[in-house]
Amino acid sequence: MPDCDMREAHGLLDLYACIDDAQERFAGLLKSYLVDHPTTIDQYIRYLSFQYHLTKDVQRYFLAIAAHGDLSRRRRLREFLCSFANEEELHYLVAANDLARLGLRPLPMPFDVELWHHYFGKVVVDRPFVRLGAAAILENISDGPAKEWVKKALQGSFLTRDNTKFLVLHQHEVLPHGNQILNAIEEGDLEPHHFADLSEGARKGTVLYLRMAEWAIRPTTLASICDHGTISLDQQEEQRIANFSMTELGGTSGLQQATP
Amino acid sequence: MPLRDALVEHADRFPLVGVVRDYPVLRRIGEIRHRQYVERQGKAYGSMVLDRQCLIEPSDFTSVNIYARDARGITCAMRVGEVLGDRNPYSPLFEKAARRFGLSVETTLTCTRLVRAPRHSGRHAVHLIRFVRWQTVHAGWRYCIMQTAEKLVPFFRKFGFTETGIWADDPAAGRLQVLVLDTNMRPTQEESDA
Repeated sequence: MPDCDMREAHGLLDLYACIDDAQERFAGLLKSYLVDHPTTIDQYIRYLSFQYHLTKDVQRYFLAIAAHGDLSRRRRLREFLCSFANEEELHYLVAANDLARLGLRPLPMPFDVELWHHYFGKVVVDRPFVRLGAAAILENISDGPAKEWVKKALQGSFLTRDNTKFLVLHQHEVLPHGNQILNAIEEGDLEPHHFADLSEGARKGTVLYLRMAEWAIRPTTLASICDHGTISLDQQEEQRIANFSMTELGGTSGLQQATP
Repeated sequence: MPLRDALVEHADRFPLVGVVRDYPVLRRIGEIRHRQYVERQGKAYGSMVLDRQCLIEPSDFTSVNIYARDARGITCAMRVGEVLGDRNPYSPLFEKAARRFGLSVETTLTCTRLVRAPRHSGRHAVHLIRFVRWQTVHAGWRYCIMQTAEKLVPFFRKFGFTETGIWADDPAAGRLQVLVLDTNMRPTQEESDA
């Protein structure tokens, strides 16, 4: 195997190790609560709320990654990222509409989501693969050893077809974004410094995501001391949330075609 | 019109009345309920949230909670639901009362969990009842059913509620009487009773 292939294989293995570690830690976090209790509706409200803030304007990140010069000769990866941006762009409305079906608006943005946007919003411009590594975590963290605990977490008498659209959409079987992102990275002909950035982003993404998850599971965790007030939404956004229909998401054909 | 569309804030006519759209507000109401029902009255109502000092129930997410406020926060609150399709534990009793008195269940709403903050007299409950009547009658709802302890029956009679003679032995709350209000599609009591 040529040296460059070896380096690429090593970089990929490191990213996969980050994902395995994130899944183990996520499983441990869920287990620590779920082994003794069922999920409660306040935890679910917190989960949907942080997902709303985390996924709102997510297309900006993927389009920023696609816009970087390092992708000028990696056009399949660029094409994938553009399709991914289109597909993910409206998912925040799904989370908000699930909350609206419970008669509620999202909670204000948790501090750890603020940190996420401050950090990745800056780093994505010059080091886009850091953010892509975090995306690889977000899209895969619920799989592997975490899968059984995620399934257990999603059982509650308050869950109905109308208020679980975000969850259903993000089940691996429905939307295999985790595999798609890893396939796109594998086929991207990336260099060692790209893999180093992917792993760095994966680790930092794991830290922040697990803190968000803990904020949802344990409403009195440290980050909750920053919880304050209620969200302010303009009337147009309120209408967009209330009138949202899943048909607005369109099909996934564009992504499937672009996926290497 | 669904209750969530009917019960929207009306700042000009009911400046003190708010509609719950945010979980922190519902949680605050849940804390007032817990203090009133569980701590003070010893009722063994079960909550569905992690916080043990907060009474929140499944029907809070299928109904609409409203509240009155002053400069110091929430003064009193009430839950408004539909007889049909609500997850309120009293729904079967309310549906039975509606059918016995020939009320159209499609246009009958329920009022439950009326509470007041310990620091407040509860006089703002009047605003809540008038708000519900005004908003829902304009949206096509005609009847309202509620149940209450005997000592509060005279209070609700002032708003046009009538006694049905139907009683419930609530395992937590004790003996409660079901009351009915027929608005005759008039949005204010003054107009209907004058």
